[in-house]
Amino acid sequence: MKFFRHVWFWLRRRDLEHDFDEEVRQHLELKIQGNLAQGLSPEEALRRARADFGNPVLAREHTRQSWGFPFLESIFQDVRYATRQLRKNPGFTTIAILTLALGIGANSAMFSFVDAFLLSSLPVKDPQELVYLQNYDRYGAFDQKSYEQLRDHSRTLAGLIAHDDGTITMTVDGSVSAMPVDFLSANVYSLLGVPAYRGRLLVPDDDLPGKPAVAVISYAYWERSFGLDPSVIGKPVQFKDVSCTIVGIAPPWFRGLRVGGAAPPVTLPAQWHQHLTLKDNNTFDLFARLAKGADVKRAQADLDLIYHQELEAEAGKIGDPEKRKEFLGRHITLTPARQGELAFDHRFATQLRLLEAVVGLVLLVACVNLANLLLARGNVRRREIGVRLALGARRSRIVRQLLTENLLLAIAGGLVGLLLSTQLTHLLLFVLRGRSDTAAVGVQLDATVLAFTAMLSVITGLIFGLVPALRSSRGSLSSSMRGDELTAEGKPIRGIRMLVAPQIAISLVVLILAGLLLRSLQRLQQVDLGFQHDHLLTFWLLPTLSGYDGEKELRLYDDVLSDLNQLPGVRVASLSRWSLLRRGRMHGINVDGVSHPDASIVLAVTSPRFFETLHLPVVLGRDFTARDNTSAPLVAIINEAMAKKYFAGEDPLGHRVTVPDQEPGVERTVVGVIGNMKFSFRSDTPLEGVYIPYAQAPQEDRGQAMIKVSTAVDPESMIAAIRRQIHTVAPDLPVVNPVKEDDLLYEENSQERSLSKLLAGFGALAVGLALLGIYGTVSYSVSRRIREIAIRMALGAQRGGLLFMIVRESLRFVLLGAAIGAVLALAASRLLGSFLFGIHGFDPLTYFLLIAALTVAAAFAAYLPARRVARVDPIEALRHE
Amino acid sequence: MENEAAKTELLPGTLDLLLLKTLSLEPMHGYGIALRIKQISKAVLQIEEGTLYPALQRLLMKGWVKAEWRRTENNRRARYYQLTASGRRQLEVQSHNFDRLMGAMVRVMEST
Repeated sequence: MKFFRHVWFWLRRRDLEHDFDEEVRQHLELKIQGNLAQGLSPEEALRRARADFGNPVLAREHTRQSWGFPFLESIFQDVRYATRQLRKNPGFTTIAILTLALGIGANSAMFSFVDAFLLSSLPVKDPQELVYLQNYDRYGAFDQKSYEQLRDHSRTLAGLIAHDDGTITMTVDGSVSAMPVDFLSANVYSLLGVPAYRGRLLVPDDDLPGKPAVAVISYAYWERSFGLDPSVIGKPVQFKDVSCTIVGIAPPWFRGLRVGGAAPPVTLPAQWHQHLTLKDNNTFDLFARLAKGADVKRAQADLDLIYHQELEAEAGKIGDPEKRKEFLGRHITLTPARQGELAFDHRFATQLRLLEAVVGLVLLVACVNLANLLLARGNVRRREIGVRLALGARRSRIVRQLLTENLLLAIAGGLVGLLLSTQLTHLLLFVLRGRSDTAAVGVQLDATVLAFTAMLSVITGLIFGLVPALRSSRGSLSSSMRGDELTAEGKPIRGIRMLVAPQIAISLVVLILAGLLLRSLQRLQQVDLGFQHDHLLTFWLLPTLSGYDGEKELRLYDDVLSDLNQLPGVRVASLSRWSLLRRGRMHGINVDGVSHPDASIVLAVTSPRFFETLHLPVVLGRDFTARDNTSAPLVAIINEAMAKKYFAGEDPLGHRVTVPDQEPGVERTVVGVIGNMKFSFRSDTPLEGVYIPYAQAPQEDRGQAMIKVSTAVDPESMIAAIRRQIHTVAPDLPVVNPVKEDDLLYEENSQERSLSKLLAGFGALAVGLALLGIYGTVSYSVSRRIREIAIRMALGAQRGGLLFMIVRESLRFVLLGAAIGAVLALAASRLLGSFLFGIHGFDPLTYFLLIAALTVAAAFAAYLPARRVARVDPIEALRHE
Repeated sequence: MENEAAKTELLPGTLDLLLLKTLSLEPMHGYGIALRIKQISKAVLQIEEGTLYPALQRLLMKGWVKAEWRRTENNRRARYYQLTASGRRQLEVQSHNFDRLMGAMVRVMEST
């Protein structure tokens, strides 16, 4: 109430002032009249009236103060004054704002990634109540039955969510394509409190057996494929033999159970998972919302009990006692899942954290630069500040005034930075992920990012502004008023020059990290994988998703491959179950009944002519043929590394091998030995490999295949012909992701590549700022020391010697910074860990080259302004004093 | 200035009370208030007239008085100040406090 009256008065302050003046005038008139009536002379009457009244200006000022908000007004005053000051120095202001904008912009862009992928919670109701169910693995994997048991018998949950993502083949309006899919238990939307954008979302009933199939599509897919046409609701679509209806569109901000990354186009109820997914996609991730009042411990005990009843029932089927023991030793643990599922690997998270730290350092370099500029400017402004101090300004007021200027700069820089950062996020996403649709993966300028930017701007303003402001307001009044230039080698200059060291150190750290990565990439590119990957085209077929199973699938491959092999331009075509480069899938082996459980064998499933496709030589025996089918004896082909390790000096042909964890008890006869290839860029030696023919592969390895086509012409030019060919054999079978093998291999090292690009970019920015800093410092120092230089010259010093002196003074700190930077880089290179290949964190060549380059650049940056020494005319300079 | 010694400075914080008390009799304009205080205090209380107006503005802001332009008996325009209900309450509180203070002061002064 009181405050509102205050505001009301403040708003009417012009009228009130008018009233006040009128009132005072009246008062004086009445007083004079009274005095005249007492018989005083007109002059005396006026004098007395004035004397009795006191100072009208002061009265008016006091009155005005009581209407206004003096503290706020003094801030406005500061801001106005600061704006004027900044406008008076457009050069300084522009450089400062641009420097800050780059620093702050890079930081908010990076932070919007960190926020989207690492910090934010799922955009759902009470995400902190969500938990993730882990069983024996770090990643939970529950089969359909365990899921149902847990769902139906738990008493501590508000709801259990089953989730699996995968690929599905969908027919819309007669055209068929493969696309990512989320299978989600149909209770998910109501449990998470997610409303439909259009139509309806899944409801728990959709998971009841016998209910018609329904699908929810994502907003992005709706926009991309249907142009936001609302009539898409009710549209029939086909998955394999299942007719399904699109019932609704999920809101744009909902990406399933992930915080960053794109939502798959289609979401289906979990009950269709087993029927519609690929054969190796047979488990669920389980999430749960705890019931009100249930704590994690109780829920964990409750779920584990149910899980164990299920395990006990299943354990009887396991023959091997060791395996059974391991099986029964599984437990459920609950971990908080307010972020849902981590839709990216740990290397990506490391990448983001590392880059976030680096852009923070770049901003620090920018801050040091500005502090530098301000210190120099503070010296220029000593006279102005001296005048204000002499006029009675308190020191705190002056510091506040200078800080206001700096904050204003920082805020302006922050605003421009924000504009930059929206562009930068697109660029960053493109470099990191090869796409630039930031909104679709959840990277956006939201309130959190805005708050971060605002905070960063203020902190930045304080960091670079506080010391210069304190320093400028100090010092003796008289010397600043005299404009004393006597500081030959004064403290401020040495202070400024010292700041070069941290700048160089930080830039060097970033540069070395980038350099190490680039060297690693160079090494990776030199790796010979052992097979020929040029003129090789790769694409996927997912026949099981179109209803091809068993014999029908095998016949399909035979038809496809024989047709492709006759296509003009094709040298040879074959298939493989997995990608050529594989990580993590290693197996134990049994050779002639002798078990080697700790072996690390790569198992590959291929068709005939696969080795021909890759130009791998058949060293001994034969390749697979069409006769190695389901009814023929079981065969295998091994590579030379395997032959050397397990059949040293013997002929391996005719011996028997078994891969127990993949095909327990299945013995295969070795019929061939082929040349080695590497299954990873990072393996030192070729691993041992066992190849089995596709037609004899175990059931769970069926259903999908990678087709490899070795061509005589540019592989990409063949894509259209291949699509046509497949279409004539199987019109309902999409050709998925046809791509050159070279591109696939290039993708293998994309994380190293993008990280090195970004580090190099930020490193260049930091170096640029640091060099600018050196340039500025030296040119300032030279301008302050003209007199000293003139005296030295008059005393006989050589120009060359003086030039060298100036450069050397800065270079001392450059070298100090480089030494610190090298040590820091050594420590920081540990962060790169798994990204490095073929070199250590301490790679002398990288360190030496970068330190040398940086030192030379720094010397040059110091030399340019130092050349002014050569133009100093000692007589002129000394007379000037 | 004449008979300097006979004039007394106001105690700090009592100007508001003085104004409220003066206005409690009838609505008055600034000059009238100045005259009235001078008359009643037998010219002992010397108030710089210029300070009356900021003080009146403060009272306005606090809502203890309200002001309006009116004609005087000599048909001049003048701004009249009038006590509001909350001003009256304030006068009671303040004069009570003042009495207690004065009582205490008097007792202290007499005891020695």
